[in-house]
Amino acid sequence: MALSPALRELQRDLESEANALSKIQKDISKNHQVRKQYIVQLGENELVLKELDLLKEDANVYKLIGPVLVKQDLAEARANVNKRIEYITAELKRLEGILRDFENKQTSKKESIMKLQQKIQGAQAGKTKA
Amino acid sequence: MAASEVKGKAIALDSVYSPEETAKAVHRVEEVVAERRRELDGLRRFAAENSSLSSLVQRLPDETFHDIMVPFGGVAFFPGRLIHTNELLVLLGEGYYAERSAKQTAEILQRRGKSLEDQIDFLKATIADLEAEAKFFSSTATEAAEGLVEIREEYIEHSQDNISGSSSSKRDEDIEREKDEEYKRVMARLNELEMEEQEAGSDGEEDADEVEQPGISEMEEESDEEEEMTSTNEFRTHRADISFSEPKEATAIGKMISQPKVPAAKVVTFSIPEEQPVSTSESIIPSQIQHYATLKPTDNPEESKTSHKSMMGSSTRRAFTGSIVEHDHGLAPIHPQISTPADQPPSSNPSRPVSRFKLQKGSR
Repeated sequence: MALSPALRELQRDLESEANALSKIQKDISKNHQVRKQYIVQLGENELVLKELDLLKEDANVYKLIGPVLVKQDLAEARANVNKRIEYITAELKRLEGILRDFENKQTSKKESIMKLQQKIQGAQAGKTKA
Repeated sequence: MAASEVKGKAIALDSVYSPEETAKAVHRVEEVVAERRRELDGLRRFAAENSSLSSLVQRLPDETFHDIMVPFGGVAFFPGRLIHTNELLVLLGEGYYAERSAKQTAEILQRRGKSLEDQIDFLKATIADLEAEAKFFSSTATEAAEGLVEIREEYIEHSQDNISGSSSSKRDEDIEREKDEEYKRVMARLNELEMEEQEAGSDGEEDADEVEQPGISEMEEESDEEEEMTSTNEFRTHRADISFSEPKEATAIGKMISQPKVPAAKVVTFSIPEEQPVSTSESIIPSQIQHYATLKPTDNPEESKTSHKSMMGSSTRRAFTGSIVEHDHGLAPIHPQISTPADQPPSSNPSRPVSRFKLQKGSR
């Protein structure tokens, strides 16, 4: 019975580790979703930029702001879209970095959980023998 | 590699891939496929909408106005009239609108349709990939369920010599040792011959006839030895017949080792253009073997050797593994009466190398 508290401790550790791991996995899936959204937006913006580039200089361009259409300069619209694309790509890069970070954490957590499980198994084996 | 040794191990496939796990994998992949299919359906709907819109836009400017029922609040309609049929505000995305004519709008819609098509194609390819994956998984699952066994065997690389031989390692070793001994013997004999050659060369200047006789035996022996060696050492046999009265007066001495004491020695390889017709005509050119040529400053003993060699070459069609001796241009041409082998017309001389070569070839 002397091993029992140690075993309990190990199991508590394991539980907390498992919780941390599931949290990381949640974060990763969230990250994936955000990234997906950004990728869609990037595609749309690129399409817009392509169309804007195809327009003649004297074409009328409007931007929908709230309920009204505001007339915009074509060059300004292009600059805006370009800026937006830049922003999105930067954001995507950032998210990618975060994702890599999360994945590293995930693997390390998995390893520690494996170790804990082995320890618990060893402890249980010792207990049954004793 | 004793016969009793276990050469491989058999692994039951269902111990590696349990049927339940594979079934799960199949299920997961199929779910993904279904999701992709939904996406594909959405894209197809977009494409259809796009094309119907495109046809509408193209029809609109046919009239200056259209009588239409204007939707009002989703439940009611009232009659109205659509004017300015050639002025359209096109949503480019991200809240940007552009004022475009019907024709320009149609162009935009066409481009959009194209990008939609691309996306559809991409999705189709993805689905095909995933389906292949699912098929592979399911086949693995059935195989595992049927109790298929995977056999793994270490791959042991056989060297070229013992492919035909037995797989017993002891015999391999024996063969290797034999080969080594043979090689040593051959090399020792070569060195011996080398010495003799050098001696002969040194006093050959005084007496050409004396040199000539040992020369023959030397050359033939050497060539035999060499062929042995080439076969044992896995060199490819080089069946080049050298025409010794070529423009450059290249002559061959059946020797692997060049004689550095010779002052006017020139080193040639078979890549020299003048040599190429000779070698290529024989169609076997071991590019990895370099032939070093030696040149003796003397005329008489050299030429006598040359003639022997060429005779030997034409008569036995021996593998030529030796070196090429290339005379300087400044040297006197080989005397026809000495250098001409029996099966070659005496009229051939350095000025007519091609015809002579052809003759040599034809005599084969």
